[in-house]
Amino acid sequence: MSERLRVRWLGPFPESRTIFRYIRQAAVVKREVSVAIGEIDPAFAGAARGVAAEYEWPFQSHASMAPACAVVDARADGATLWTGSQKPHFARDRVARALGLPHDKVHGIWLPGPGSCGRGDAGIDAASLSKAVGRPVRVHGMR
Amino acid sequence: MACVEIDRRSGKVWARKFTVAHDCGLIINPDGLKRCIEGNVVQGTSRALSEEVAFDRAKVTSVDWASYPILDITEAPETVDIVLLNRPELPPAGAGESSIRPLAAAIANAVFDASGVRLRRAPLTPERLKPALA
Repeated sequence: MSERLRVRWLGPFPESRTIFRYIRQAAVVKREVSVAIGEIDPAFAGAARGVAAEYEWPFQSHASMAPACAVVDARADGATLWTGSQKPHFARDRVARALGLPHDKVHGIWLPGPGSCGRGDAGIDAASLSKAVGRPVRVHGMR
Repeated sequence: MACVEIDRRSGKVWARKFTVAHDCGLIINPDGLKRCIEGNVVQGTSRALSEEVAFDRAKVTSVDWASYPILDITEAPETVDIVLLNRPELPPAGAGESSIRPLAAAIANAVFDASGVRLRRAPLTPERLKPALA
């Protein structure tokens, strides 16, 4: 299905080896001071000693140690979710929404899993499938 | 605080010992907090010394654990010494990801203290450290 999407990429993109040079040369689109306490410029100007340095931190992966997995038993009056999600309470809420059930009719049971950074939640898919077939369904991504 | 060993021939860093003081207000579950801090230290060490997503002009090329190396058991810290500062008069605050934040700075400072080399680009891989040591 994704092959049917018509995608127009903005570019050209840099390779990782030159990413910091690319970032430094990129146009600034927004400047924002999120917190300002006191007079920053005069404090720097009057400092006994100034220290300036630049640091480069790479993009690091938010990968789980294994694919996402969840089991849902969806019934007319409630559902049970087994998940290894980092946030089982939110996973419970999402399953309740997907099934059109009140939150207190979905029981989320957390089990140790391979981590859930990024895409680690198979609960909604399992909920929809379980509702469709009327039986507990396990959804387990492939490597 | 980090204690590191550097192999000058290879440029490889072993962050062998950490001392972590942790203040998150009222401590409710000290054992859980200690385990959490240990996890932060190991993952933080991995991020400081090993982890970097590589990509070419078209796609990500770090696609598995071989092309995206993480810390392995032989490189894990030998000791994590934890000092919990319980503050019963304060509300409990989040502790899940606090101690990962200063890890890279602590390791880089220890590398500087041991070798005189100041690396400001993470991760501190042998490929970056070895030429700087020469």
